Amino acid sequence: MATTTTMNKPEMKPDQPGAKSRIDIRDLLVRYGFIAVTVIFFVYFLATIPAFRMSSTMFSMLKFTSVVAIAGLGVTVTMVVGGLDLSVGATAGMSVTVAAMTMVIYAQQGSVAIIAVIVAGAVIGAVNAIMIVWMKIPDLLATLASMFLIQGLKLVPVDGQSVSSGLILRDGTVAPGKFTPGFLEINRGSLGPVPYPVIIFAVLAVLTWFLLSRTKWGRVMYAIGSNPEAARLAGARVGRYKAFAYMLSGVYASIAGLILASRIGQGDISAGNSLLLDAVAVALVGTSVLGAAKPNAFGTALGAILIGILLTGTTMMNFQYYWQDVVKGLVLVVALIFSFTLSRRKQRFVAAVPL
Amino acid sequence: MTTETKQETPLVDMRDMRVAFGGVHAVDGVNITLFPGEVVAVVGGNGAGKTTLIKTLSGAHKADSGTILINGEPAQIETPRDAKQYAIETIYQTLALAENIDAPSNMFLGRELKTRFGLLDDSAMESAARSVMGRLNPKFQNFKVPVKSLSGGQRQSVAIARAVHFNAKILIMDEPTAALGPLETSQVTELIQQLKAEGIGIFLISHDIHDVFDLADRIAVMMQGKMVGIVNKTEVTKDEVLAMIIMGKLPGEATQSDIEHLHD
Repeated sequence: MATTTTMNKPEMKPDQPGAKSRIDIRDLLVRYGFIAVTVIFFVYFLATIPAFRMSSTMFSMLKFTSVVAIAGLGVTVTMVVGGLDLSVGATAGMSVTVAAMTMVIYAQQGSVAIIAVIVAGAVIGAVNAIMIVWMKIPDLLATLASMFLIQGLKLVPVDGQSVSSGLILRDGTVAPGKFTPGFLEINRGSLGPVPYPVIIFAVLAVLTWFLLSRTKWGRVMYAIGSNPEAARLAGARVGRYKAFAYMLSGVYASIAGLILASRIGQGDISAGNSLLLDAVAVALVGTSVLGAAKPNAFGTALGAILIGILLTGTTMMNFQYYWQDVVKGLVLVVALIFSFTLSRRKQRFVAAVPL
Repeated sequence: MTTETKQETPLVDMRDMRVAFGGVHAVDGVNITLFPGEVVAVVGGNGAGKTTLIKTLSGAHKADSGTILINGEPAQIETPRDAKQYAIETIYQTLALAENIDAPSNMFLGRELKTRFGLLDDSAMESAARSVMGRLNPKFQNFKVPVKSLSGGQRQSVAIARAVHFNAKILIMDEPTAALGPLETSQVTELIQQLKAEGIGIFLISHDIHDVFDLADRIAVMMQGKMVGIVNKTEVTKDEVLAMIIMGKLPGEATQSDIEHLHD
């Protein structure tokens, strides 16, 4: 087709990227502000807290962060398709109970527990997907419902009790199994100086980044999050992509739960309770990194690390525990200022959250 | 009283199309054809059923019954993917673009180019976008920013470039100029003439009777889900078409006093 027609349009509104060459402080802030804040705090803690300088502190901080970060990556993926998975905390909590039941009550190997937990996570993701894609229940409401369901249902087979070795079962016998050493190794083990949870976190962060920014699936998922109707009209099978996002989120949450279970070493029924809000927070914080103004894996990972740095630093400086929430809240506000107030792209990147 | 003058096989032949929403017959037994190199305008008031009719061709909406022939062959069109198999491309009134990704990504949305390793080939998509856009709108240079920062006209260029790149044979334009200023409108007009000269058949849905008279070869008027009639532009006046749209009366049926009432 040799179209020669030209459509001469008035181009380049003055505030469009590329229309100017001078350095714009606001642009710099939006792009690098968040990273600068991270570096400033990091350097400040390095300078003022001797113990902070130890490499073991670094790794234990990253290890501590990994659970939230992995759940946050799952939340990120659901935010990319314009949703939000509110069931990640409950899923991680359920994973702790499932792992404990598999090993303590059914006396299975750690590997069996790992498989059981991941399968359970995928099933929850599938249930969320069925509610959202097939039953057309809005994402937030569907995952809120599944959050309650999971939190309640996980207690049914264990009669509402935490599962630890030596538990007396309903028939009066003592539970035969225990958390296997191999399973506990998930949290305690390390490759050289790098703890396994940090490796898992890093691998999942890279995989998620790769999926979202280098594959067709990621591209279409972003399009769906921005305009599902446009994606549908362009021929994308919107339902499949959304289902995939929720399944992935369920699996990520269950992996976070595995690390949590291995860390706690028993089937604590309250495990994962605070995870949801932290995971959502790091995913939201992540939207401001490098001026992305959209959910992204690198941002979420960095957001989790910044919050980890701040929590470790403030703890080492003997702040009271309740300052932790203040710190998280402040980080979120600052990140949202970078995303919304300062950014010229005042768009709604989370369709599920009325902004 | 449709005016069928051409004898060749129509590009599109839609027969007895029906779509109902609940008890309402949005499209009620409509027949329409489109020939290569022809612009058929589909006009009518709000709720006349024109958009719904055309959505059954673009795959955006499934018809309850009816037959669609493409080049004389029966076609099954149930999804937008199906429509694209028949080289049917649609430019939507709402400029159906994903705001947070850039122009090349939007052009290739759902049909992304990939490298040998199955990964996104962004540079190939960008160069393809540049080459199509170079013909359509050479001033367009914003290939790397999300389309949310583009103007209405630039977005329209992206939507049209998508159709052109994928070698549309049948183009559906739903109010293509509704979001545009006068200058941009005249550029779209020019582009439609160009596409027409290349043998592409175009369905044009429009509210604007002047646009319709500028662009269309035939004018199909719908009212309350039914086809009032399809007329050759050269054989009718604007008033006669208005009488069809507003009163559902064909030229000849409308009396002089009907026509005068139009201007009350």
